[in-house]
Amino acid sequence: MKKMESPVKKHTKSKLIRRSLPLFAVSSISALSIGASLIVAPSLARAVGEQDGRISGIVTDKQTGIPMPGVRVRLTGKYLLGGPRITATSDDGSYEFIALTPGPYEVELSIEGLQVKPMRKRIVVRQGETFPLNVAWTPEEQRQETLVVKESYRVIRPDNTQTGTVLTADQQSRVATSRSYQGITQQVAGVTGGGNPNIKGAMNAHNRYLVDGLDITDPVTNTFSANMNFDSIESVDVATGGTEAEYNSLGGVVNLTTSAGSNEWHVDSSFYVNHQDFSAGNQFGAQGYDGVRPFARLKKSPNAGYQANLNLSGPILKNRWWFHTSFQYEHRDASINIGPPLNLQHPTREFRAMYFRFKTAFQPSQSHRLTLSVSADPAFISNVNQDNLHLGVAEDHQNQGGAFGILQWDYFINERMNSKIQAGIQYSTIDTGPQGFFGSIDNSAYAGSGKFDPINDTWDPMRSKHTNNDDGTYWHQGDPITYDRRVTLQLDPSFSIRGNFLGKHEAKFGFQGRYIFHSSDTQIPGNLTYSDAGGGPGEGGLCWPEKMQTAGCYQRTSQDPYTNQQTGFSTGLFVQDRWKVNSWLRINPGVRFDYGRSTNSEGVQVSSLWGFGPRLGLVFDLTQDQKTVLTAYYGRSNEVLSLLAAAYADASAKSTTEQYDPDTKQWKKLYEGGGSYFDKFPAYDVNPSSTPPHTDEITLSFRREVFENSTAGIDYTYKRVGNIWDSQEINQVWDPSGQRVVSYLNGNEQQIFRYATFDRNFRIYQGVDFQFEARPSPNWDFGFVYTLSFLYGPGAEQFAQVSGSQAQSQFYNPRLNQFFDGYLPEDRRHQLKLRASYNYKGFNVGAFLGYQSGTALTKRFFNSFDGGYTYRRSPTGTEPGNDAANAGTFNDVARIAEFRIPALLTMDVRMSWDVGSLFTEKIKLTLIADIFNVFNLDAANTGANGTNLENRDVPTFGQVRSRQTPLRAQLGLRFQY
Amino acid sequence: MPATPGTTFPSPRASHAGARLTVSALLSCLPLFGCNPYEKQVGDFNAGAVDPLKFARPYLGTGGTGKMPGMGTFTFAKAYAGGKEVLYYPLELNGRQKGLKDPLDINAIYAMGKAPLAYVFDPDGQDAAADSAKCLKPEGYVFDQQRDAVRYDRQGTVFTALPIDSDPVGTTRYAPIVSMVPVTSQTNGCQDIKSEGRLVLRTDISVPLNPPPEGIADALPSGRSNGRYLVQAIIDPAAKSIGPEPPKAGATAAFDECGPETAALCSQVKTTGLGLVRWGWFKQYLLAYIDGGAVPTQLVNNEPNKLRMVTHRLFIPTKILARTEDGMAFEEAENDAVGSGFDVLEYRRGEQGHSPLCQVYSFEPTDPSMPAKSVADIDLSKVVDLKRVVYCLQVPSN
Repeated sequence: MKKMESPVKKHTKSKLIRRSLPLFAVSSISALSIGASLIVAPSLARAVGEQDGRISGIVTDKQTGIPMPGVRVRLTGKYLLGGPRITATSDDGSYEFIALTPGPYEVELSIEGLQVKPMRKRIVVRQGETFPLNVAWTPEEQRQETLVVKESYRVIRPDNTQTGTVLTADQQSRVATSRSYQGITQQVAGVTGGGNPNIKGAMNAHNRYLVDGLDITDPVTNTFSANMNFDSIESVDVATGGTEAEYNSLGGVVNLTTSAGSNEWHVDSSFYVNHQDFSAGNQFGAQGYDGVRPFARLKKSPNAGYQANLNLSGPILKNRWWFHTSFQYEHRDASINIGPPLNLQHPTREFRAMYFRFKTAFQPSQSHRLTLSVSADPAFISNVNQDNLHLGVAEDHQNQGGAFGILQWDYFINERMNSKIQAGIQYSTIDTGPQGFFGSIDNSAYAGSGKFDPINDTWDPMRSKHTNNDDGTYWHQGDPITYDRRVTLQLDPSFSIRGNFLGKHEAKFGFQGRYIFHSSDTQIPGNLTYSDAGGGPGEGGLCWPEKMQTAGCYQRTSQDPYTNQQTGFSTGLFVQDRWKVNSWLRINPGVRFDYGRSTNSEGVQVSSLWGFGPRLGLVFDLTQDQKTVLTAYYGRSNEVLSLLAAAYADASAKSTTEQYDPDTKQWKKLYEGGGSYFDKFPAYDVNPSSTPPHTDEITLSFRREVFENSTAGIDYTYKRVGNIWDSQEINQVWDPSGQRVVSYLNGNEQQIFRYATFDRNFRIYQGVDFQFEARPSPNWDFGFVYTLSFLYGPGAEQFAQVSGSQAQSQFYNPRLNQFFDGYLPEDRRHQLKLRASYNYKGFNVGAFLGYQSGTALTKRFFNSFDGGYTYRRSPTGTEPGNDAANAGTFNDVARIAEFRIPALLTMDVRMSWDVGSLFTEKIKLTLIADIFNVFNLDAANTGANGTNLENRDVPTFGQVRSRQTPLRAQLGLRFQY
Repeated sequence: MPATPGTTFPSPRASHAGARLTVSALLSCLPLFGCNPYEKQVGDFNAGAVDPLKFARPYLGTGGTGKMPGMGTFTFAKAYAGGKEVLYYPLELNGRQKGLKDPLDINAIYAMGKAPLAYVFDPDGQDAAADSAKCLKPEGYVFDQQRDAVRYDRQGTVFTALPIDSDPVGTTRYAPIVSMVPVTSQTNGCQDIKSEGRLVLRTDISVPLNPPPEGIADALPSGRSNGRYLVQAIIDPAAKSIGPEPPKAGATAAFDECGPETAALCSQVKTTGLGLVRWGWFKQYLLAYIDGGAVPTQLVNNEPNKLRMVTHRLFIPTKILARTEDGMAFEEAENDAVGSGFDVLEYRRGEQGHSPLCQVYSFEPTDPSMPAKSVADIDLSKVVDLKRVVYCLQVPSN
């Protein structure tokens, strides 16, 4: 469950492990560099959790403009389970089709009994959106009109306030992407970060992930918990804000709908390959100003991948029962360039995964529909830590995987009422630990070189891990061995009713229940970790008495193996109304009530949180033609359930940290950690009834259809995420400088953390999105997004999930408290996302260009007591500057400077050619060539736990530890029937 | 009304400007302009502890290193003065001062005698042995050692120089001597003032000022010294300051640990490493210093540029008490070391004649069972002037 990785992990109680992505998507650059395609464009989303779309409109007389009641409206389409649907316009000429699987449809208007030619329109319905199809029609017209809709991009959203967009499989196929749903979310306005994105300023552990309605958000870390077959995904609805009461996310909602098949049989098979021989693979100097090393004749760092996909779908019973099944195998190797401080080729990260999917939908009648969706995603990752701080022997391994399934019953009672019940389960595992424990170590870069001690050539389970604080390197052993098990059960019934009262209403009532479980076994190799300092850099600076090497002896922490488990449940009730007051105003009020509780191994109630979440959306159709819309929104979301707090606030084996006395050459006890809540001196403290973490959001949006299928818009978002979870150390008394602990409140040399939500743990996001999207013809697709945003506040941390250490929390050392306010680590001031593609007779060229200014960093200094880099001398997002007048000290506030990694610019290109279309329309055989990082740029990128630009006060401070993945090509072949 | 102390920007004094700040923050938060969180950190905000990275070695403590603050220890010695125990920190002359022909000549240490200024709030007598309590403390304030780095019912001294080492190492131009600028508190919040730059512009205190130098743009006035000098040695703020250690196993010295009169204090500081040093500010950074009090000066030959510090006498025994099988006996002291635990200071701090600079003499004790506790116990006719001066920074006694 827990991970010890930073120099100060001894009182970290470690970090909960998250799922990993296949390849580059672990960093923002990767996600961006790979990502491409459809950007932004806020869409016509109805409700975030909606897996389906709908069609709604009014039929009016073309000449008089008077609504036409009684018009027969017939809907057909290959994704229309249950066969064609027929309805009639009401007295005001309106009609509606709900619960439509996303895809193309044909709408036919006719008048029963009249001999007129029907009118037909082809449209494309997208997930969670309403397609507003208003028709002005003269039945007397003899001309049969068939309008081929050019994937209508009427992104005006005349009926709600949601921001974000829907990314469809078709759009994603036109550009080069990471082929992961996590990666493509980077294409949306206001989304930054990596595989676990930061959506409009929230932490990457604040999103919700849904697959076919099942909330697969990890019950412990609140991050994504499953990888998916990319080609089985129909669409991804990324809601970045303005959500209605059905949803309760502090960040965004990533809502996947997978394919359920159709009335047609389809096979979709593809194979992708990339290799370092297809890449530039340059070597660079360590400084930010260093470029390519033209005379370094080094082997290219391995960056290769192979992926095979097979999808099969079709009808079991025509119009009644469909299925889709999918298998994806993936093997990806990724490595970073050689860099400081070790300056040798780091072992390759190997990612191997198999994804299975099966989905079936059964509609025995027009009133009932059953859907079953199941997935599995075992994966194995070697050499997880991609940095230049570990030799192969100190690398880590991660096995992850699990399975989930959801059963959904839709009951369409009548045209005014329908209900839905979803029941799901997810089971997942994450096993982590030293690479040598789970597999074989890669020592090829140094074995036999004589540069390091021979013990690095082999892995020893009893050897202890050393952190050398003089240069930030890790030695001899990997992280603790943990076996993590996580279970989620979900039950979500809801009921929708439509009617008229002072306008039109559509109300939805729902209950959301969730039960979650987590267990963890933890064992530290050798039961001991060392934090060395003062001995100098490298292996020679380690505490190694056996080699008469004690200058580096500083601190060490011992801890025996332990096991714990936590459970929790939550219930939520919501009501959301959509009230169309008149032709230019909609009012969408909503409210939800939530309660969640978590309990740890010892029966201690860690959280018992109530949440009240009002929502109010106003939508003004300024020109009453659905082409100029102004929206305003306020909403509060509450997070009442997470096992994150309970996983930290739980019993563990006692740990003892000792300090080395160079005079006596003895280790002396410094303090204790761990233990039980029921010990004489409780090991931890909780405040279960504190205010739940919540988001208050105000969104203002203005959108205008500037010409056909082209929309420009501006969104402004103010978001405050408050009362974020964190841990507060409550027993230590620090000296005035914050470098030494001088006493303990309870008299026992012991760290005690209180796990609670804190008023002062908040963050504020303000952003403006400028967006333009156009699809002037089916051949062209163009999108532009520029986001100016500011993210600031003291809330940089939620337990150790961001920095990797509880000692870097604002609530750890009160002497540093004043430094915890500033631009946060996820703050990116400018984002530019530009996408264009052209498709002509099977030949496609698509490009995505992404620019984002650098994230804020904070320089960290050594803390003598912590034995690690937990100290600050300037606020969040800054470094204290070098006071040359005082011999290079950091004692001049005027020299405090903002500290950021460099900006990133990437451009990815896809060229593909459907050679199959030369012969038949039924078969597509597409040759694909993707080029990532076309400009072969080499800026430092962000990495795990903050940065690949060294931000610790070590000799390599400011140097680049890892850069953008160099230009590389990927070749693919796709067969579709 | 001063704000709650301690932990957040802005500083307490800024609280009365809260409404203005709120308005300006809201204005600055308009779309397209965003917010600058650093603008909230107005005034003399607490910039944390001073960085001792380049401190001269004597100011880092035994075992100290600037790179790893907190590794050093300042061990105060027990001594006797006027028949009573006292604690003092013996600091050898160092750096450039040590090499001077006359290390007591202030004009030689600092050009024109212009020692770095120290703004002392409401100095009590000439010694300034305690921080001022005349500032405005937050309502209902009670010092909380876990929460508060310093007491927010006191105002610490504001310094203007640090013990930065010079190149080559060991030649620091710093000497622990400051020139006192008395500041009179009026309505200033406690610990609200942390830098000279803002202190001289404040209107809620009274401070004598010299006009800013002409011809320099944006130059600020500076404090006008009252002509008195203090010996206050700035040290690594993270270093431990402790009383004399009890004899280690196997050691023979018997009585170098704290005696009954200093036992309580020594016991406390042994645990915390706090209590023997004081806390002040430098350019908004918190610093620690060992306070030796006022140093008397005199004009040499009544020449205004010949200002010399006056010492008093420190007597160190040539033999110290040691345990024997029969009880106690003398053994030879090592290298005329000061701080053996049996030193005798001529004056207690606060007495007329006291100085934080000591002329060192050695004496030979006569009775092992009766260590000398005052000058009267020493045969002054037999003392030897070791021609040596040290700083003898005495902790004020009750």
